[in-house]
Amino acid sequence: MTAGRAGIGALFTRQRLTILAFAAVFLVIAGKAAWLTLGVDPERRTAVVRKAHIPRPDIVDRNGILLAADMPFASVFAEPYRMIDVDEAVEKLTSVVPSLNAAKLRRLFSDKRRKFVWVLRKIGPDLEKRILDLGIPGIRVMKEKRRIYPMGRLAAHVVGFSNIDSKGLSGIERFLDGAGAIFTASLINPSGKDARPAQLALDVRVQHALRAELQRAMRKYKALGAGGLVMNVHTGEILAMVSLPDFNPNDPVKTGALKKDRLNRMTAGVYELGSVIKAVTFAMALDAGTARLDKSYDARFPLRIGRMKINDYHAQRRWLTVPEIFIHSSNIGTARMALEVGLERHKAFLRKVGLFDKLRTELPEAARPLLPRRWTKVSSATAAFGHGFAVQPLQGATVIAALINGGKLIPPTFLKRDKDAAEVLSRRIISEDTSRKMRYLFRLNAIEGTARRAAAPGWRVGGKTGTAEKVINGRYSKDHRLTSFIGAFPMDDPKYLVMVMLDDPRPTAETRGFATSGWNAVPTAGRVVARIAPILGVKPKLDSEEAKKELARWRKINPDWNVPMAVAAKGAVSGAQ
Amino acid sequence: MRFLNVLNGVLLIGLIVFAVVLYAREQQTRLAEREIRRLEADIAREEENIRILQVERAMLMNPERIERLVRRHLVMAPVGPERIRGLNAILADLPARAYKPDAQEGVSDPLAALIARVQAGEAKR
Repeated sequence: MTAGRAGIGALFTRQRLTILAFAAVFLVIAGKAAWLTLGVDPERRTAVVRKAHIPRPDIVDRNGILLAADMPFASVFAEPYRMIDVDEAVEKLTSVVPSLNAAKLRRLFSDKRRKFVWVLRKIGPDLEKRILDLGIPGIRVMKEKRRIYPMGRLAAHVVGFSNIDSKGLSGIERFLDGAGAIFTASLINPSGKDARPAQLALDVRVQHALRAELQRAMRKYKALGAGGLVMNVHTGEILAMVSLPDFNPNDPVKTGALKKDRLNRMTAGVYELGSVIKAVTFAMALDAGTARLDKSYDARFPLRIGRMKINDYHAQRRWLTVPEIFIHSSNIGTARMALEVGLERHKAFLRKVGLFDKLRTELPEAARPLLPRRWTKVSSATAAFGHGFAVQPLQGATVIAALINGGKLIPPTFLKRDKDAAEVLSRRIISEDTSRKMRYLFRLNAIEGTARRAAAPGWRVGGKTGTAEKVINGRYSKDHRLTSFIGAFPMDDPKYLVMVMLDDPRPTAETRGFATSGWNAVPTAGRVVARIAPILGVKPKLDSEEAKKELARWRKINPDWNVPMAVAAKGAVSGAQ
Repeated sequence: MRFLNVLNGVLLIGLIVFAVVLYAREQQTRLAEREIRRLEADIAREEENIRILQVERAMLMNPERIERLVRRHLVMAPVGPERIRGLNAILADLPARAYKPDAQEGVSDPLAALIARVQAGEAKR
């Protein structure tokens, strides 16, 4: 049987027909199987558009309280050219969201040339679901994320802010994208879907207490600006850092984040810290052995070096012992102590404690110190009491922390850190014994020296004041000052350092016409200590004679304390907020 | 031939059975997938809800806001150091403040009297 002979008829024999039928069926099955295994899902027209989003870690404080978070929100939009029944669509939408303008929507939806119309923006997931459940053709939802700062202005300068594309522009937000990119990557889960929060050293309660008191001080002393920080002296952790005026990171542009006076005064600006720096000179001289606590220096007359004349603000015009130089903040005595140590050793010590280099922390805003061009006898003598060179205030605080914590310089950090990690990073700059002497001097200064008015009773505050004349138009101004205070508590075993800085505080009736640190920065710091010590678990000791005197002084300086806030707010007590 | 017919018949029946099973499985898979998608959407929505609640809670916990509210509505004062006492100091004080029933004339229970006083104060407000 050949094809030629049988012709077309032979093709339709029963057998062949059967084979063909089977072949067809198998083909269909094979095709189906192939479709099932290899086939791609037919394009599914989803109603939700998701924007690709790299997870950005939340920022939380040391106790896990949210400082910055990505918040999801949905926006509903319409594509009128895809819409089948405009009236039905408008009716359904307004039934779910009555506040929508039906007439306007109808007009917009009816214009079939339109490709895109916003219906609702930034809605929550519940409303989003109800709208999607309506199943209106041409109505779609776009998912977006926005960075939210629930604490608003509270820690604006530390947390910083990011732009609409979720890129950090300042503060820790910028650190997460820039220098801290490896840290950020370590937080992201292997799935790539989300990230663990970045935990800061900050404590929002301490931050608030500091900010509230600085705000009060700015108002009370009519200062242009204020700054402050609280640091753990054993770990270098920064529990609070405030710079005023500040901005709201939720709306940085409108609240002036880019204005010059909003920079972070504690790190992005350099200031002459004035007499606060004397503590560094004392530590150097005591550690070098050229000075002892019972040694005296001649402070009878102004000190002349070449054309330069060094004077005392609280002039005693007599020989002063080392503790007396400290508590009277004598420029003459301090300069003599520095000159006794010698130019080169002085310079080397300042370099060793890091005051000659730019201090780097996680914050990208860091300023380089301003130093004298040539290191001469005059620059050494003036640097001894904090004139002629300017550093970041945080830098000053870091060194003071080292002077009282037992002598170890610990680089400050805004991230949570434990004691062991701090120990590894620490560097000894003075001996344990010198540190003990420094603690004594600091405490003495708060009992009977320039820091008397801190007076936080029972919390054993000690510290050093500084009043620097501001440089205006290139010269030192007698009337415009930068007052500062760096102290710590409890001085018998220091745990926390507190720094307060006021920019151009004015004399008031209450300060009896004075505008030096002891009258504004010091009492402000005292209030900060009294507010944060209970939060930080430091116990007051009221049994000593000193403490009782402090309590009496405290009550006189702070009549609003212990008065119920609602009463104080009504102005029943003068001097209250 | 007869053998082949039987074989064909068996194969045909087998084929139909497998086709039905396959179709049923496919259908099941499709339903399960739909369920997974629905659950995933639910989870995503719940996660978003949690997120929003977290942010809201953080906003409510803002110490600035709490202080403002306290100032307006509550009669509270900053805690002074004289009010912070160790347990031992409190224990040392105890005998002086010991609970003495019938200490006051006409008032049998000072605690009850205190509660009554507080309630009276609230009623007045």
